[in-house]
Amino acid sequence: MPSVPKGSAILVAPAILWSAHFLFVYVFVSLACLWGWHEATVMGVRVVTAAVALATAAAVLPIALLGVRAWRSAPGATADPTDTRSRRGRFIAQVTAAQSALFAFSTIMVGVPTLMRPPCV
Amino acid sequence: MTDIASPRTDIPQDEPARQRDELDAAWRSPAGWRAISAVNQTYVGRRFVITGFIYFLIAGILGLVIRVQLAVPENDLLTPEAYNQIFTMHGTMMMFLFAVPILEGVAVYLLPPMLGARDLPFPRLSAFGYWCYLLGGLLLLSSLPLGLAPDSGWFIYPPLSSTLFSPGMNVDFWLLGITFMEISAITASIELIVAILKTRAPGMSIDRMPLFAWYILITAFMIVFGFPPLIMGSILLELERAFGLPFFDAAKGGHPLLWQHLFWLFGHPEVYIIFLPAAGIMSMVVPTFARHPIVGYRWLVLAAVGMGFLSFGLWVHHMFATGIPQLSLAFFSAASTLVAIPSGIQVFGWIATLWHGRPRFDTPLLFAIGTIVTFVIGGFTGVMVAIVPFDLQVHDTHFVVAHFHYVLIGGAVFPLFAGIHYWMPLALGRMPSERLGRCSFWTMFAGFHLTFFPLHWLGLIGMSRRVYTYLPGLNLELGNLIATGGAFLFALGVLLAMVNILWTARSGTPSGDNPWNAGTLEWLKVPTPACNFRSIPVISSRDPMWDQPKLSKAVELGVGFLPDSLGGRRLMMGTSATDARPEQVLELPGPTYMPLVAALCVGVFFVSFLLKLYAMAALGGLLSVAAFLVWMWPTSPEGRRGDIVASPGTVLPTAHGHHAAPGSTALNVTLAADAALYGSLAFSLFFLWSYTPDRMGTPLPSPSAWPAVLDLCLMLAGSAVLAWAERRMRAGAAVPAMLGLPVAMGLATAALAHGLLSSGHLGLPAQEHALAAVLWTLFGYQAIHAGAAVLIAGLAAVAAWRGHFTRGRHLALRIAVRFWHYTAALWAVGFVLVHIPPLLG
Repeated sequence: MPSVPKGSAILVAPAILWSAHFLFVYVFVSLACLWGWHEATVMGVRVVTAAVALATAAAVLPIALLGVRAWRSAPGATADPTDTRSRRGRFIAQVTAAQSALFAFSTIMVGVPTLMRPPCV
Repeated sequence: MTDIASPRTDIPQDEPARQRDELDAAWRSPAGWRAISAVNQTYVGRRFVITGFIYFLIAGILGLVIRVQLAVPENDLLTPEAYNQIFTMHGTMMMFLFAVPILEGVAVYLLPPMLGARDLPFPRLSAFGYWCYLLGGLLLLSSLPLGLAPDSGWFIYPPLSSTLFSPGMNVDFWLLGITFMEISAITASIELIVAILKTRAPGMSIDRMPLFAWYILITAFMIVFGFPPLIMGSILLELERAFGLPFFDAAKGGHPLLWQHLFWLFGHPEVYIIFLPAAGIMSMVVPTFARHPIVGYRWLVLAAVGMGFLSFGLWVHHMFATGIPQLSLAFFSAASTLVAIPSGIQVFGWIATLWHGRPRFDTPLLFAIGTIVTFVIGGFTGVMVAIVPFDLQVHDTHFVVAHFHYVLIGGAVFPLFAGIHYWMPLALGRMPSERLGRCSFWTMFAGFHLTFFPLHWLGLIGMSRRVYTYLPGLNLELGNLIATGGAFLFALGVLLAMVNILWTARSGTPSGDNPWNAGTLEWLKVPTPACNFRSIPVISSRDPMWDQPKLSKAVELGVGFLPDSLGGRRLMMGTSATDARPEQVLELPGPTYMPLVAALCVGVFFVSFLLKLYAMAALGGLLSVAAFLVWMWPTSPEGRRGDIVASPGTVLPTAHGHHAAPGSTALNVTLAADAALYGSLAFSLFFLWSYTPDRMGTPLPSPSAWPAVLDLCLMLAGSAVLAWAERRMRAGAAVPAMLGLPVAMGLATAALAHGLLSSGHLGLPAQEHALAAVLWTLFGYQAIHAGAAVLIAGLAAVAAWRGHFTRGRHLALRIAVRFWHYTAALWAVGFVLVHIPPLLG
């Protein structure tokens, strides 16, 4: 059985990954448009589109894994008020799993427009 | 390992009367004019709230003047210039002087008793923050009677705010006043984060924290990362106005959009910085009056964290009309609509709690329901303006004015009044008038919607914002007249609420303990004693007042932690961040004038800078440094170290000088804020560099790397020496610290001196080109940090030479070392920023 989460910092890991992805795609697309990279293609695919799609996949994957792992690691409910470890572990695991779902969806929503629009209009 | 269940409830405490008297004496603050030296959280919190409310009233009167001016077409009550000043001050005061500080004040006032703590961990810092807030606010406000109030909108976009178009002091009042008072936002955030993470009552693990604490924790982190971009933007704009450094001057390589990015990087999270504490208030009021525990506690934590992060991805939605590529707009449009998900979870959590409970429709719940109705409407229009084509249609119209007033009054002012009514018995010990409360709610609610609902329509038919009048015959008359009438009705509601507060203070019936039958700890004893808790309770539930019926009696008998002040000391518990296990006993300082003196010295700097008395400003800066050195001068640790019997069977170390004391956490948070400030400067360099056609080529700055390499090596050598000294200290050897600290100070002083002497290596003078200006600012930023590192190391050296350090207690050394490493890292990053871009051509 996976270990119970000890610290609470894991709670914000999905959100931090989303932030990193968001920052990357925004800065990358801005610079690409500013400096004219948007014309470049690799095997017929625009570099900008490919880079954003790859970055999106690279962000969604660990967020999803984090969520699945957190969900599986959640201890069962306890009625014992002194069982701090299980109760707190369950809380952290469940909130982390929910955060993963929210931010995986958010990452996809931010990445999808690249596939639908030319980058620098 | 200490067991949190260890306080033995079967042992009666000795001498309860003596203990109670000593506790009262230890925590009591001076009366009369000496009360300004008080640093207790109750005093500081009340000051924040009262000052914020006064600023709210002044800003509200300005709002009424705006509405009178717009009541009829072609009104000549105000000149265009006066109108510009009034709408700018209305927005600025509401956002900076009222909304954030008053909610922080509520947090300062409520969090310790809610968390089972006796005070905040750094009371002098809270007091210092308050004085900065008061003085900075007064500095800004003083511009109004002088007729020199800022007049470029609350966002003061350049070039309108540049010296070319705003040559007077108006904009300087904004920049310096706001920066001065933003010190308080940062200090309060540090204070609140450490309080929530490190001073909760034993047993209050993170899954048992009141939701208000969760919301404040997230808000405080948002301030730590959200305010620095604005502070940096304000510094850059003031440097441009005062010394001609052309950061935003397009003719010299600057870019006005840089300001918009820096401003909105702060400005959009600011909306959630205001909303989240208010949502925290809602999450305390709703379960109490629904008479049911909050539904979906985990979901609400998720929502709060989600809003906190997503709100940082929305800033460009204020810049949809600036010509940014459509794809980039799509990212921000997506994020702007996504934030509706956690916001929706939040609202449904409150509705579900009401649905499952047996609601009691007293005044606080009426305001809470008013919040839900109003905020949801504001949220819907928020999603509308998140859609780029719609936003372009209504941009700069009164539709946007309607939207953000629905969000901010619905999402902050109504919850605040819910909270004021809810916690009035706690603050005054008396029950408010329910009749006056209901009258004030319905008057405010009706007045608000009459004022702002018509503005949607006026905006959709094309009425622009920030224009002092309009022509007749455009179908704008009726809507404006209704809005003006509504504004006065709203003001009447606020007046009734004020009357209620005054009536309650004078004539309200005594409330007794927990008059609303709330679940959280702050209601344990009303009125709250000076020490908050006779003894620190052990918490075993999320709603201890509901689930631990014997708690009040136990605390009264001194069962729990630290029932004794041990001879008049201000003692409170330090606990672990996740599980709230007892770790340390903190000893807090008593009343002192030092925070006020330090704030006055900082004030000398800001006022002198405003008056362009730069020599005097430099003196103010030196006085500030001197004040902080006096404040932090190492004092003898005698009698403040060792172990304390915190409860029968539980012995804890005192935190004084302990390397794991809350001061260590505070330093980490401070450095995070500082890194965000530096990051904003780095972003500015990157932004300007990316927009400069030939980037770093001739004749732009072409810095020489070798002088900087030498300076960097000196700083890194200092870091290495200190790392060695700390390692040896952990092994019990104090001599390396005694020697290493002065050596490191010497190395940094050499780096600074050499850096200043060879600063010509940066290339062009700062006034010639925006990139040169940023490079000089980067150098100045790093130099200031090196100077601060020397001073901090100096304080640690004094402590080392006086023999204050021991193996497990050398906090000053740890702080000096960590700050030094951070500074060396800044220099290293600065080296890369300055010298690598030219290589990229």
